Amino acid sequence: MFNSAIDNAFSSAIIPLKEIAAYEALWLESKASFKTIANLFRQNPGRLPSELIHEEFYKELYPEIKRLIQQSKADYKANILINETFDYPSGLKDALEQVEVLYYAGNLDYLQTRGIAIVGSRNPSLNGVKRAEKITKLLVDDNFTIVSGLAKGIDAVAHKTAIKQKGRTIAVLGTPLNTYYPKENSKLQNFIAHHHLLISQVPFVRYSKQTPFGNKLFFPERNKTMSALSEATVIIEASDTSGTLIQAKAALQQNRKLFILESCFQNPNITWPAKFEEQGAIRVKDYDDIIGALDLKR
Amino acid sequence: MVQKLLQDQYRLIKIDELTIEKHYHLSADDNCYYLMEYKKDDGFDNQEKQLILNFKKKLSTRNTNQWQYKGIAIAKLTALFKNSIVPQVGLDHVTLVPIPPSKCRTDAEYDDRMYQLLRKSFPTNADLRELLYNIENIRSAHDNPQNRPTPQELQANMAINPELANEIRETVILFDDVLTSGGHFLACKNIIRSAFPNVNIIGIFISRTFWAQPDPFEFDDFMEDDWLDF
Repeated sequence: MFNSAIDNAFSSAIIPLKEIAAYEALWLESKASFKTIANLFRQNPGRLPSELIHEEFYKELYPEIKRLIQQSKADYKANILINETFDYPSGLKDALEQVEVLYYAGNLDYLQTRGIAIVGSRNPSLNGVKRAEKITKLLVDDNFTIVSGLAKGIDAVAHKTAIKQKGRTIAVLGTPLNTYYPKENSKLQNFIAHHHLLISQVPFVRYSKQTPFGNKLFFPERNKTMSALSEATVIIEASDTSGTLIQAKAALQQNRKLFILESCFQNPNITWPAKFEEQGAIRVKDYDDIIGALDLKR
Repeated sequence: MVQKLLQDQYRLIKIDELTIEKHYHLSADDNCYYLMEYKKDDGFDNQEKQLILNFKKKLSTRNTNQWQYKGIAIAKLTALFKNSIVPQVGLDHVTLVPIPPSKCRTDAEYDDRMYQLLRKSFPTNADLRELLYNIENIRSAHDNPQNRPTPQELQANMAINPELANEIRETVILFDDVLTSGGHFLACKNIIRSAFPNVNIIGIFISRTFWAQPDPFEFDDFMEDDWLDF
């Protein structure tokens, strides 16, 4: 056995298993949410998860975490990224709700490239699909990384188009890294994990203990993370009750650019486009409206 | 690419149960730490990779314009060590030992970059010694990834410099630039253990090799299947 797994010659060094366990344990507190955890880290700058919770609350999680990560049914392995390490991308520190801990599989260098999120309905119109493909192609040609949420509909179109165009794509999951959701995108999820970058902030243990209703709350949080990781968000199409609008709100709060397609404004059944335009969103009639607002020389 | 500020302080990361698997010469009770992941062929010119490659530039580039980058890499790594590693080390109790380079001291390509880096990074009262040396040149694992020397071969070719072997402190920290299989660490650990059975041995590596995930299927398989299935 690995008796010295948690022995540490340097008090400040990170032991991945220990930090994963501590992060997962923070999530097991009954009122834990992304907000409470982000606040906890904000109030304790520079601290690791294991420095914010006593060992007795997380050491019993070691066997379960080893099992979840080492014997995962997913055909890729979860890695953890923690603030305060050399490999942690400095761009992430700009987010209002700072991202302290991430699980990932794939190429972390993508986080140091310029990313644009492309999001929208799970049940898009045919024109919505075409618009998503067109904007993705143009952004890939301008060397942007395409960020989306691996949902069915617009998200899947954005990822697939980026891959087909030989661009880069990042998928931000609303489920733990070892969970395939939706099932129909499982091949796409594997492909992104192996060739691109797959990210999740959702805790494995809490997710496995919670009801599907409770776990639904991770999806809107995923949209906030996705926005934080991206320089801008483009909304292709969405209804007034769509989860996509969580991301629209987050983008403006995080001082990210928010682009809304003209066709959304022309849709008489929805009222959200005008509301977000008043708050600073940019109306997109053609691609120049997007690229003109992004400094290409940067 | 976002440039990192090398004056920042970063935490060392321990090789633990979750990360040990491909460092197959390390064992469960080894105490090895690293600062960054070194990705070999991921198609990116990332900052970590460039820093390591420049640090390892061969002495034969001495008269080319490549050489300046080695000096810049040593200076950057010195800043990184001063902020992130030196404050963690209790200097009164440790002996610092660079893992010897693949060429022996008499070779024109002998590169004591790690010794230089440690000399510049640690205060002058630190107990820094080139305790270990190679008897003959040995093929470098970096240039011969398919025919890496075994830890036994490395050990047989290595010796302790008797002039520097007095009053070794209670902990020896071995330093190297890249951790791959862990074979060099194992060879050094065995030699030091046999001469000084009671010392603690720790490894600090600037980077550890990050292997790409095995590829389960080809791009086309996946595209044919569900490309139009939105």
